Amino acid sequence: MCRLVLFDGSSRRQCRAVLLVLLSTAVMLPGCSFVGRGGAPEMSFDINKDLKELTKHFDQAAAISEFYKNPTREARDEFITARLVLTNIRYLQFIRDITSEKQLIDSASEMTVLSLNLAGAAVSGVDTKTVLSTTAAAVTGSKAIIDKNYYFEKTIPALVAAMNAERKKALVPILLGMKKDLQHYLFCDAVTDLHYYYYAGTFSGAIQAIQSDAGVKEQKQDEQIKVAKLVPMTEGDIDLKVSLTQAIGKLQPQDLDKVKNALSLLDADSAAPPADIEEAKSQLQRHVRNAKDPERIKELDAVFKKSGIR
Amino acid sequence: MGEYLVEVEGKYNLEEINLQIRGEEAGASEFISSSVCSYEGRTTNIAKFRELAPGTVPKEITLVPQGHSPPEGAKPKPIWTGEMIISGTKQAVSAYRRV
Repeated sequence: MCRLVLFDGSSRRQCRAVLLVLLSTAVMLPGCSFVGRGGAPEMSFDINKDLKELTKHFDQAAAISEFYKNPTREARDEFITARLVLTNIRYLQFIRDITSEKQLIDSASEMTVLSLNLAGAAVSGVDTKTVLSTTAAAVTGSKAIIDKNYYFEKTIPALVAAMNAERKKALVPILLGMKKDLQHYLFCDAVTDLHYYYYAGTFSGAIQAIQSDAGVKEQKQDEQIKVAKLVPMTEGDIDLKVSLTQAIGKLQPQDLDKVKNALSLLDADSAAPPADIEEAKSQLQRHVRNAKDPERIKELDAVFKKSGIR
Repeated sequence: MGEYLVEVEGKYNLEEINLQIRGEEAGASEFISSSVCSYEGRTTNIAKFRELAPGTVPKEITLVPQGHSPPEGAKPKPIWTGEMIISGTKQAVSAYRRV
C-alpha cells in the first residue's frame, strides 16, 4: 500500500485517484468535447481541477521563497525538479491540444517521464519516489492512446517539432547544473534556465528558433557563395589578362625563382614559398584569376615584367 | 579544379556582360552557368565558373539572346541556355563557344 505524500490524510483511494489523474493528464484529453472526436472514452472527472491539485503539491517546492528558507543544494534541486514537472505536464497538455502526431507527443512524453524520474530522485521520501516513478511508468504506458483521426494544420507539427528540439537544448544546462554544487550553479541561474526552458515550449520560442536557424543557414549560404562582383572590362583589359595567363602557361622549372620573386612582391605575408614550379604556377594563376578589375590587372603586369616572367 | 561563383550585375547590357565573362575566363576559368538569384537583398545574376589548369584560356565565349543564330565561328550547340537579367530585364540567353 503506498503511503501518499501528495495529499493530507493518505489513503489508497487518493493514491489511485492521483495516478488516474496523471494518466489522464499524460493522455492529454482537454475536455469531454474532444473525446467525441477521438478513440477514447469520456472521462468521469474534471482534469483541470485535478491538475490544480497536482500543482498544489509541487507549487510549494516550485516557489522561489521556499528555496530561500533553507538555501541548500537539495533545496535548489527540489525547486528545479518541481518546476520541470509542472512545466512538462502543462506542455504535454498544450501540444496534445494541437497535434496528434505520435512522434511529437512521444518526444514530449519522454521529457515528462524524465522530469518525473528526476523528481523521484530529488525528493527524500521513499514513498513519494515510488509514486512518482509509478506515475512515470503510467505516462509511458498512456502514449498508446492517440487519436489518429485528429485533423491538424501542417504547420503545427513543424512548430511542435521545433519546440521539442528547443526544450531538449534548454534542458541541458539545467541537468548539467544539477550536478554542480550551489556555488557553481547558482539558484538564480537555475531560475533563468528554467524560464528559457518554459519559453522553448511556446510558439514564440519555436518561431524564434526557426527564424534563427533560417538566418544562420542563410548566412552560411551567403558565406559559401563568397561572390566577387565582376566589373566592366574592355577588350584591352581582357587581352592583357589573357597574356598574363599565357605567360604562366609557358613557365618552366628553371623559372621557379622568377615566380617566387613575383609572389613575394604580390603577397609579402604569404605562407611557405612554392616547393616546385607547378605549385608556383598555381599560386601565380590564383592572383591573376582574382584580378577582377583593370587596375589590378595592370599591377600584375608590372610585377610580371619586373620579375622577368613577361 | 574547383568551382566558384561571381556576381554579374543585371544593369549591364549583353555586350558588357559578354566582356565581363570573357574577362573572368581570361584568368584560367571556364563559364558553366548563370542563375537569377536573390543576393544581399537584390535580384542579380550569380554565375558559376570552373577553375582551369594554370596557363589555360578557354575558347572565346559569346552570349546571345535565345533563338538567335550562333555567332560566326562558334559551335552550333550552346554550352548553356538560361535566364539572365540584362539591362534590368530578365531575358533568355544562350552561350556559345568558339570552335
